[in-house]
Amino acid sequence: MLDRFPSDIAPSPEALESRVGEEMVLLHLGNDTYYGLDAMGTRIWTQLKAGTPLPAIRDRIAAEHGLDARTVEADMAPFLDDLLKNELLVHG
Amino acid sequence: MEPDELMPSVTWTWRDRIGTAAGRPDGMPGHHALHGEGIGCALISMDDRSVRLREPEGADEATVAQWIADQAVPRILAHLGEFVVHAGAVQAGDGRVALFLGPTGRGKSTLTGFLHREGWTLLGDDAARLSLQDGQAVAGALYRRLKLLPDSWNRLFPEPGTPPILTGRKVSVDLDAVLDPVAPRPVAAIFRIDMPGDTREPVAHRLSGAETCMELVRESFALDPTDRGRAAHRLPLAAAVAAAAPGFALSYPRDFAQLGRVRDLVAATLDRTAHARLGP
Repeated sequence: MLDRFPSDIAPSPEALESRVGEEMVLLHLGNDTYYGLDAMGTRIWTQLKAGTPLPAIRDRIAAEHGLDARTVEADMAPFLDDLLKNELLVHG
Repeated sequence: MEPDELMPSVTWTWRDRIGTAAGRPDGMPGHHALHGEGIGCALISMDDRSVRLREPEGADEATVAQWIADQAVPRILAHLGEFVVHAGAVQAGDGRVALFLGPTGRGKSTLTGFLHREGWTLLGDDAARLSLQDGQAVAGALYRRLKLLPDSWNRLFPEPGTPPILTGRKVSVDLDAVLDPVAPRPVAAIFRIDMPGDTREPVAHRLSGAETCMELVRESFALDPTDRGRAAHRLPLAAAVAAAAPGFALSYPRDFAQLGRVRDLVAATLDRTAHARLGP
């Protein structure tokens, strides 16, 4: 399911972030989009910024939460789609 | 404020929900332009801190002064680095401040006016300056003012001869005079006033920190909303305030007879937030 995402996607350099507790708000300076991340989204975003490959992010979350990798993928995919749609993720 | 027939052409870059437009006067660095429906075009100089107005579009001087207070001054302060949001602010008897966020027409003034009538202290009905002091979110208002439609005013203050203490003070465009706010007070909770929908009784749902942050940003003032640098400046301010004060979505029927229940709900919510901070 994550295979359809290019391996070079990365947070946009136009994206600013600000922490609110365990959550985060992103601002895309180019299109003035604000985007709220819950704790899990914040975790994924943080790892994307660190350059962690998507399969590794999936595996870490699955291991930490005792979940099946495919279940994590099913949640990650629409989240990544949304970030791409809002240009918060771009091709690195 | 001076009438000025020699306004430059303006490149308008932004317009809000009530028709206020922002732009840049061509060939005039350090200047900004605002346009208000029925008001006209205001040319703002950040160099000499002046507001010059083209021939008003039929508005009388008091209306123009009010527009400057409501629209220009908060945006100028925001441009100077303050975090100013479109909000009503009232203080309960024990000092806790409740902020009510929402666009024009959502009911901020009616609710803040009602709470003031009930003995809470009105800090402002339209704009609040937010910041942090020792990790605590604090709010200050630009001026004590309550602007209500006649129907709401008559329902809330039916007694003849109600002292006109809430009708606003004269507002100067001299920033040094305006920069004399109500002293900042601790914010206990931030309420987003939602449309009533099918709500039959007042309800308050907790917002996440990220949601609260985005509401604060959405309702924040900016002289040039397309200014990336200042947008980047506002985001961490909003995040810090949202992390320090809980946010709630407040929905209630738009019925004067229900406002007492809204007051009770707001007070109970403030109590819960206080206990949450004191508790384990």
